[in-house]
Amino acid sequence: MADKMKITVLRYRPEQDEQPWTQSFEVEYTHEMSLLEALNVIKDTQAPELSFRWSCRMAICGSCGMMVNGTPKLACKTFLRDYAGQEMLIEPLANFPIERDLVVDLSDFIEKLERIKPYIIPKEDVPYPGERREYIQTPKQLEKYRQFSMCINCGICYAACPQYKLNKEFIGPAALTLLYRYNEDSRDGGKAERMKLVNQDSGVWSCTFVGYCSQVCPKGVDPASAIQLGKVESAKDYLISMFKKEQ
Amino acid sequence: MDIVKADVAIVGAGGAGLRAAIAAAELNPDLNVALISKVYPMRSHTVAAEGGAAGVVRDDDSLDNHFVDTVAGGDWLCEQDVVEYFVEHTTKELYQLEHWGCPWSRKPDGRINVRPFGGMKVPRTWFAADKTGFHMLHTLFQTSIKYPSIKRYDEHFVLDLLVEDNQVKGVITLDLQNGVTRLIKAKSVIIATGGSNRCYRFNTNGGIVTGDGMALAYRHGVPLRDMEFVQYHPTGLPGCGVLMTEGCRGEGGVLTNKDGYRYLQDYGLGPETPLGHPKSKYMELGPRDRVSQAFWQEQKKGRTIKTHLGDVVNLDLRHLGADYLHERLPFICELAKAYVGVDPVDAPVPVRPTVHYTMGGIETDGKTATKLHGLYAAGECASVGIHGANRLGSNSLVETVVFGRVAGEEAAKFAMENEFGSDDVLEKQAENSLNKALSIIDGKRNESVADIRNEMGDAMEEGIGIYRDEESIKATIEKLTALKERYKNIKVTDSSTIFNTDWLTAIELGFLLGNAEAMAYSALNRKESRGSHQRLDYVERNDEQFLKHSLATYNPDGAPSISYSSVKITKSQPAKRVYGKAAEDAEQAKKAALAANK
Amino acid sequence: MELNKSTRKPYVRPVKANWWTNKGFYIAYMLREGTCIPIFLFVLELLWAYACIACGAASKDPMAGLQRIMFAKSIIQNPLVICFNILVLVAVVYHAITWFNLMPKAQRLFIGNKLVDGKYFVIALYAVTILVTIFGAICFFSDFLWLFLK
Repeated sequence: MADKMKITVLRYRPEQDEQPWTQSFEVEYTHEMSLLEALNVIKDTQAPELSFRWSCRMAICGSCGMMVNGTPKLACKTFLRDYAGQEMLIEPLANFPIERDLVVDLSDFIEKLERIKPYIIPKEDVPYPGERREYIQTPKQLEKYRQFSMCINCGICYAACPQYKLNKEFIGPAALTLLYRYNEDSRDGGKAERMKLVNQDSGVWSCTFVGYCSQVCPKGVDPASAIQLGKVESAKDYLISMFKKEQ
Repeated sequence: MDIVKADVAIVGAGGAGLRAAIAAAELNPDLNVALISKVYPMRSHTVAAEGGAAGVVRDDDSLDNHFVDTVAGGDWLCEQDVVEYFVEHTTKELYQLEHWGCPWSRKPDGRINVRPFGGMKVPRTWFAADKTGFHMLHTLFQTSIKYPSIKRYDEHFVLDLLVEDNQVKGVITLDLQNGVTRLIKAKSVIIATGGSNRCYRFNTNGGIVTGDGMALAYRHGVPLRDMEFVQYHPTGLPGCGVLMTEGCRGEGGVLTNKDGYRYLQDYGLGPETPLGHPKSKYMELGPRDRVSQAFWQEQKKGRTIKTHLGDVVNLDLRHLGADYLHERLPFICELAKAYVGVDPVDAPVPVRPTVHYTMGGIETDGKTATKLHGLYAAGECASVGIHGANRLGSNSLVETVVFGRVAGEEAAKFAMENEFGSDDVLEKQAENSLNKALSIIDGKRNESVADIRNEMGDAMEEGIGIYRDEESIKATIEKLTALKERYKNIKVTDSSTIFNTDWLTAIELGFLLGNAEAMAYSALNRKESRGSHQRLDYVERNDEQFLKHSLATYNPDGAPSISYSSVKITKSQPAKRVYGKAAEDAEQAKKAALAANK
Repeated sequence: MELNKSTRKPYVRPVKANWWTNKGFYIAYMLREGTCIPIFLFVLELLWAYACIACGAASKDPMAGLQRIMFAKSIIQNPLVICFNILVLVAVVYHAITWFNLMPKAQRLFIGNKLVDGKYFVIALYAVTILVTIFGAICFFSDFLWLFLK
């Protein structure tokens, strides 16, 4: 079963090119072949200079996000069989600057992940359980944030987000989701600090609820949900602060 | 050349590297910690660990149980004093991760839940569904952001260690994104770069697992210890090699051959346990080496299932039911559906043994220090001595944090007592290392990186697989020697400075070839069968001659020299390694003997 | 190879005004957002008509007042305006559907330890909509019925 697929890749070599250009390759594929494997075949046999990030091959390390026919996807979880009879156009993740070929500059995204204080800030009123004891967390308390802790930081939701496309100040889906994940964790006491970021112009209110981030998320994290739930929290925060001022 | 200074430099930012960085930052917040990784930290391969991490928490368990399981699981090639330290500190480290936010799976009362794993007497594997490594790694990465003294150098490839007066004084790195070299001067250096399983063609590992740190230490005269012990995980998906966690069997999954027969009962792991009632150390909960070896035997007998992706057996999870599978093994369901088109709820998953873990690595003492002053190693790249000849599932994830912390603290203390190296010496060395690395860029040569990599991978599978003998190992060595020669003529056409992956994969291939050779020669010289090293020509364990660690020392001009070092035995004398009913019988006999002596 | 100074030159892809036209999801989103325009115009229409009727009824000159009301009536009954009103109805229904579908993302409910599947929220929303519509229809038609009987 050796079908052939035409794969066109957007290339950009910063030292040689003024702007990106496309290059087409033909790859023989089997039923199991992922786009990542196909790109590796191209690199091994046709274009050793083609650059892209990859590692785990099992949709958990988050390295290989790229645009496949205009849709952001993980290359390792995209299969050529699903494009049988079509051609494939592979581009670097949208909304990020292209560093080289399919490699984008993720530094803005990484900075945002760091900015939202993604770590447990201990609660003042909950005593430290000690070195050999856990904080009690019921399955329900775990369930409240569990889904939002599944993000692999692949950046696909940023490539899907029109707001981030138009406004790079927006903290964006994955980082706001991670923020919400820590706010909802029963062990955390840092919500007040993080709400300042949520309430800013660049926070949840920059989101117009397009919802495409959740549609394309390869891990079912549903960032759009985290952001809308963040809006509810932000609105509550605002009302409470108004009430407090009156007092 | 850009020169920066850090008190402690850590190469690799997976579980061990991140834990080391946090430990160093906590020990002394005034120290500058450089955390260097060729990828963003959350891409590190710790992320792919699924099943869990071992730590004694149950009332019916004990540190002694964990110790005995580990040492017997390692076929008595473990450093027992180090194992003692290890089992005492696992639970504390796992609680530490809990305090940092790791979403461990819980019991209804909100306490930590544990699941059984292979070779374990009592269930002690902490898990976060079947994404334990992912959650541990992200928790560590996110927590590391809290410490201002940790400065990350993401996507920096370490080309070499810099050594002055037999003491490591820094590293020379290539900043992949900016395309510049950066010399990071340091008073101590920790290597935490993971295993070297990309030496094999068919493995569960990510593309980045190329043993870089092992190769760097090795080239600076630090021996690689016990490299012949390479773990085959019994359940990888055919074709791609993606891992199906041991947790599948811990939760009650069973392995069947083409006749639907649970063949493990024929290989000293029986008698058969009832479906849905896994029993510790029986059948599917035997240790990985034994379960993988049973596959090989079945294959020889023609009782495996032939598919277009090669021979497989079935991992049957159907009796667990959809709800339970989706709660405990959601990632497994996702992976099986995506990569072999099988939903474990409806059909058994085809699996076969796959190279998974490097038991050996950079020789360290019990506190992670290597022979080279100021150089420490932790995690899979190190051989601190807890895995012996076969690692127990869920010991490695917790190893990353237990010994990551030790390495971080030890390296920090060392940095507090030592000075930076001299600029001119280090710069000159860095220049030399860089020139050497640059010398492989040449588009006029004609050997393909991919061909050499694939031929190496095939030769390793063939000669140093689940079973080996002198002939097969020698054939592999011959092949490796030829490949090393061909490597000199490698073709690297890309001369860009930005994200030059053509160049990097070529450098990594050089590292892999050296590590593969260390594995091959260590395997050749160990003329016995022990744990994951099974020789068809020496089928018995030989404690008299080989209750020793192999040490492979680098030789720039040819084959590594192999020597041996003693194994530290404290409280567990080598005995016959048995599982299933045989283990219970042995224990009964031991108890009876003890009683008789009283 | 120049490794002392970065030759980095990231390329930022330009954002074109028609960025949303090449993907169904974005088109659907823009349509959803675009429904605000006809709805805005409809509100103007409603306010204008109401103002006409109110002013007409309050007018000191009954004839002029009646004329004003009749004028508003003729505009509202104009086929073009009726077509526009149907368009508005379609827009409102479309907007409602998209919001109902998105609703589960903004609201979560736990029963026991389990998160309730979002589809039940959507079903509940449709159920409420149908009930309210039926109630409104009954009120409207019962009014007619009463008039008829009289």
